[in-house]
Amino acid sequence: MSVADRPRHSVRALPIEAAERQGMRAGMVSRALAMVVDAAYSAALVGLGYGLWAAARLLRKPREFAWPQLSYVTLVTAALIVAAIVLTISWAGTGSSPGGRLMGLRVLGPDGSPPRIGRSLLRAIACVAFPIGLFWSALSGRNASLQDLVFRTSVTYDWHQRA
Amino acid sequence: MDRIPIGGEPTEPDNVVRLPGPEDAMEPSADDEISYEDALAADEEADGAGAAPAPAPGSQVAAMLEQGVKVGAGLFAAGATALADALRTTMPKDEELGDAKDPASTLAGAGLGAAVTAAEAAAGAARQVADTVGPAITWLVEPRFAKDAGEMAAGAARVLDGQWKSTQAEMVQAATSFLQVLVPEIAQALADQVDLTALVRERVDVNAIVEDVDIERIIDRVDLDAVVDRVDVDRVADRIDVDRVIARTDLLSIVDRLDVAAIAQEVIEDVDLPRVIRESSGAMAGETVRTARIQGMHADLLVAGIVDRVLRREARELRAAEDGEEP
Repeated sequence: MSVADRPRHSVRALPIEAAERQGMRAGMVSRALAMVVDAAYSAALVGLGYGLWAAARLLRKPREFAWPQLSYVTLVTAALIVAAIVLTISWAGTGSSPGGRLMGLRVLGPDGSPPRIGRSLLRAIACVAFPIGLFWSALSGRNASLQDLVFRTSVTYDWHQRA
Repeated sequence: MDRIPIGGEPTEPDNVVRLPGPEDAMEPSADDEISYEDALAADEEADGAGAAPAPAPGSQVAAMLEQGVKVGAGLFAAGATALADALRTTMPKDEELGDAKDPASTLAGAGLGAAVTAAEAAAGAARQVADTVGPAITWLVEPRFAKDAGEMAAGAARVLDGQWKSTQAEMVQAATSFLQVLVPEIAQALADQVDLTALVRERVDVNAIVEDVDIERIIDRVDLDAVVDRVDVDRVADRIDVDRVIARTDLLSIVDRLDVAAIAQEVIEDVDLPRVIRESSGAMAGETVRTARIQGMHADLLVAGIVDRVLRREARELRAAEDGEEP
């Protein structure tokens, strides 16, 4: 039996600490870190958008160029909207937001698979509008945030995430 | 009957059993058989003309005595014949003797003839002792007997030999039938007395005998397959204490003999290692991410533990349900 004929075994590298928690509901700290990353990611996207907008203005009217004047509220609102969009797309797609990928987390719907687009959108809005709801996961007996309780979702450890 | 009177004895009783030697001694060339017949005739005559027939008890005793002597003579005959044969074979000049009388055989026959005569004498002894003794003594003291003793001895031997030969068959028969009865009984008695097992154990080197046994040949003749078919292997296996067998096995030496490196190489070849590497290291942004994840997990546990202790909660249900979340 040559090497080529042998069946390929699917072996995944997993640290021992992660292996015993793989697939379990994630705790508050990991999820908060993921949320911070997501917020930073969203802010970065907003900043990137601001830069692109400024660049566009520069290219169109170089002589009259001035940095776009945006209020703090506008920026935050933009960031929240971007975050909601990013989270919706991420959760409905793979179940993992950028922060979740980094921290090795995955959002699952009631059926154990990533939530569909509607549930993802509503959950994303809820998370963006009331992020403090995440901290209920520290108190919950099932590590469930308020959003999880409302939308019947759960966040699990999934080491095999591409950061 | 031409009986030559011995010496000048005129009144020899007819019923006396006489040794025919002296007559024959006078004619050395005379035929043995004739002399023997003469002797027999004399005996018959003596018996037939027996003046004093023995009483019944005496006859019985005499018959038993005669039979005993016959048996003895028969037994002696076997030995004597063997002895004669042995002597003959050891004699250096067989050819030179030619057809001359075989001295060894003659001597043996003479002895046997004497025994026959003795038997017959014994048969008559019971009733004829008195008549026999007197003339015999007379005959013995006869001066002529002394004078011709050499010739008489040779002649007497020849006559006795002939007498023996004529009765040889009968005597051997008697001895044979006697032995046929006796030998099994002796053997039985010996067997009863002797502990053969102990004897064999003491005297026989069983190991030497066993060493001579060709076991291979015996095994060749045994149908081992048939023997094995009759063995209930399951039952034998049930009786084996596997734990004990394993306890006696040097597992480490077995492991030492395994080519662990080759096995590991084989396992590595079986595993899609590039994919593993891709997923483990290439996919992640290095050690920082790994550390952040694991530290996050530890922090999760820590926080949950503190909260649970404050809330006096046993533990959390952290296994994600696949069929839906409880609200």
